Amino acid sequence: MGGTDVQLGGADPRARFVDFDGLDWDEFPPLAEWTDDHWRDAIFDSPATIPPGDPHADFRLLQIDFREIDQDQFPPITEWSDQEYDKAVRRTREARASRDGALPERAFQDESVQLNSIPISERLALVDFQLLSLDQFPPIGEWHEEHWWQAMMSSYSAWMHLRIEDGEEEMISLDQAFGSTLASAD
Amino acid sequence: MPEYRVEMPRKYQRRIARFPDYVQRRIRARLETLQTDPNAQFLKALKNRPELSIRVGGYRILVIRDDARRAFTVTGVDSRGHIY
Repeated sequence: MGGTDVQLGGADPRARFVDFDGLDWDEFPPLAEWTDDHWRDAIFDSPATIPPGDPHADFRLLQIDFREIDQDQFPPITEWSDQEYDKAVRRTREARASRDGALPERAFQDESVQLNSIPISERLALVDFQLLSLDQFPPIGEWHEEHWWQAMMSSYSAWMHLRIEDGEEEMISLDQAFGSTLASAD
Repeated sequence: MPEYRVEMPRKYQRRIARFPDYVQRRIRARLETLQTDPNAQFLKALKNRPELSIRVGGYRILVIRDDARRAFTVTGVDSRGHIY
């Protein structure tokens, strides 16, 4: 990684979130050829800038376009709190909605999803193969839609439980959440 | 006997507790349904996210279904337009 490339990357606001020295450059083309997907992958591959194993950071990161947010209003990403991730997602959404002339809610309404609409890079980003019980899955080349969904959900679930084990989350049951005084009704 | 367990981080319980009582009751009813009907029709897939969404009036609950653990985990609770 030469200094010229780093300077070139420095012109893109997303460069702030990439650890250029720590990247595996065999996996990336020269910086001048990077697409949005390369930037996203590079940000994910920058452990110095993204808290490892933080599902909230990871999932929200997929929705943040760093070109759309005013970075002067944010601290370095390693210091981001939950609120700052939410704020960045919200700013991205508002900027795009404003540009597209659509209401923010409209752009993010529930939609029936076809797995084919999710690029393979995004699917892989949502699957943690170290946390999955791979004996419950066929070889990845044989995965069907249900395998991908199950892998993404199980990864997220496992991340959540790592947070519980680390004391970052306290999980409670339905009865504990609602007690016995609040009768259910529909 | 429930087929699936439903659980949530305590921080979401505190958030739900601030909703009106009738909303809390409907959320509880939806989540209780999941215990015996893990494919309930009110579960909606989301674009580019692995969670499922449950709409209760102007509120949304996000859940992850883990068939291996036979459990649902609540991963988000908020009013529409602010949860994602």
